[in-house]
Amino acid sequence: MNKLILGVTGLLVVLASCGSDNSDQVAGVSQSSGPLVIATTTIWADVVEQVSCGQANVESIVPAGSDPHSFEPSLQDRGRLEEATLIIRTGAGLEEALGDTLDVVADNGSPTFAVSDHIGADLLGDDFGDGHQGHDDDGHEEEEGHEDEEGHDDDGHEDEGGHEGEEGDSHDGHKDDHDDHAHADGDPHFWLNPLAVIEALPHIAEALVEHSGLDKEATDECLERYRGELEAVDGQIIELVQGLPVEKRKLVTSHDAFSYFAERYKFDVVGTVIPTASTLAQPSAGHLDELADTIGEEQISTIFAESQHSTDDVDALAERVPGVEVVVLSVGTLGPPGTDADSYAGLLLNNAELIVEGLR
Amino acid sequence: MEFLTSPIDWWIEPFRDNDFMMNALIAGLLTVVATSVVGTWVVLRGMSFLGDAVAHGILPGVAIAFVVGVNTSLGAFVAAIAMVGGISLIKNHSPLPEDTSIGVFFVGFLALAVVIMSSQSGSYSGDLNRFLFGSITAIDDADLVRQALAAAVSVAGVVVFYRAFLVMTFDETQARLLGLRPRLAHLLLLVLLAVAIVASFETVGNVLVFAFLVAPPATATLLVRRVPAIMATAVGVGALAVVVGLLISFHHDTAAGATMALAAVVMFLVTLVGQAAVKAATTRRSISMAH
Repeated sequence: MNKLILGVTGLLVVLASCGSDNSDQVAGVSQSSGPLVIATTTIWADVVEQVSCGQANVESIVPAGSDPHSFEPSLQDRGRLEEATLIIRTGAGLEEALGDTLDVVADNGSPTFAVSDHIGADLLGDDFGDGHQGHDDDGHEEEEGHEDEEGHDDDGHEDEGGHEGEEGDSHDGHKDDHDDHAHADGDPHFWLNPLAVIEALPHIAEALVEHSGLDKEATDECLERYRGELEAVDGQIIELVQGLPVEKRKLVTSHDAFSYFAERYKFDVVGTVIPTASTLAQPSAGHLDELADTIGEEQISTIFAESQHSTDDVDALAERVPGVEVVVLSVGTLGPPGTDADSYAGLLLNNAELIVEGLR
Repeated sequence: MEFLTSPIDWWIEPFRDNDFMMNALIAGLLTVVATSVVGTWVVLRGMSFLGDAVAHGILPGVAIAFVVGVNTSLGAFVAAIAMVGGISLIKNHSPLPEDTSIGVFFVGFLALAVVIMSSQSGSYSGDLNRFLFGSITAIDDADLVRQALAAAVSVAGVVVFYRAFLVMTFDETQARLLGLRPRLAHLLLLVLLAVAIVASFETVGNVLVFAFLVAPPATATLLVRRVPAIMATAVGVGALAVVVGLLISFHHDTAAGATMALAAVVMFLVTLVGQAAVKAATTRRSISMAH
């Protein structure tokens, strides 16, 4: 009986100390003053910080290093959401566990801005039709194509239901298994294409001015500067990728996250280890076998894991194919301060460098 | 120590100033009422494993409902009933002990849910996450209505069938002699169990609903003897766990559902240890008095 008492008391002490540790740190609070703007992930927090350049107090709900798919908010987070002058979320189904809470907060009248609502249908969603060029095309002269498609917004949304049927047609040039893995309606990681974020920037700035009362001129200035920075990063990535022969631009990643990156920089997503985006799903043995064969056949030298996920599945796959390396990329969250991926622009460039280096 | 030094700030203000805290509190308390009155029988009849199995057994129903696009609560309820029926069928028609058939169905249903989700290639089904942990941070009026209904059904069911459940729990032969049809009563209890679980999985999540089904009634059985007293105490203990859990989540930024469940389990352990300590002290005193 005494042992029981000791054991349980020990457990309680441990629990109590966990509690007090937590109380000392207030997660994600930046020191700047100004109206509170809450972004769901560290990526949007950085983008908003850049656009507002210090005029707002920007916080993120999902802490750096956590998976935005499965993050469950605390009641403190709920309280912070309530106090925010503006809430910036990814949209497109990314914030799953958080989604219900965000919906209720929005219903209660808190201004909420889903970035995915402000990105043209050619960039978001599965309509790769018009803007799509064969992956074997070398050039990146796509930019002009994107610009005049901004007006297609509405068409894209209306057809949403009909895309599934079209997908096969518009993907003529792809391998069969592309249909299984291309995320089309599943992949919400559109920020891996900087053009998508550039397109949303003016809308973010507008929302900041309207709801958080930021100075319009100052914000527009920051916006232009940041747009320039992201365009430069996009250019740098294109340059990097051009150094990689077309036949080597083949991605195997851990889950459905790189379709936007691949679309922009002419990569082919050959396969993903986890076949769906669900956390309850597991890769099947047959699927992994097929993937291992593909990696061997295509002579892919590096496959990619993600920083906020366990790398076990990807490591196991790499072990089946001799000579294949695993490189970890940042996708849903920024890296810790001081690392190459500690800002959105840094994350984009760092991923591209790692990918190009790995596949070379 | 803020909860001692400035009690009103710590205990009262979060609920007074925030509608979402009030909603979470009401949803939590209604959950506790439903799970405590049913959970008392679960604990007294030694059916914890079955309760756990049903809490997980709703997942394939949720998964199918999600894929087909119908109401997930309906899917969950159908799955719970299918599981309970399957377990009773095997129990009655095979020489195997009940826990074996529970184990088989537990694993079978969980695996089925994972297979269904895995076969949904390409679609975005990660939403299942929220059923594992619930979202007490996102309670709206529809949730409160559903939760209130479940609490009412659970309490009414337990009151109406009180005698049948009581006799069945303590003397099955006697129940049969009295014409109380213990098998039917058992099935009814399982239906109430399904109701309590299905109503609660969207608020506290299906993993944590099991904590509320077992921990407060278990704590209560340590403290009192009579069944109505156990139920009342369980509701009180569960309510305290909800309040403390919500407040800790609010003040210390912890995941809400898990904090409430942890509070319920910690209260059980504290009660257990407290009782052991009291017993040890009284034994020592009586020994020293005897000397």
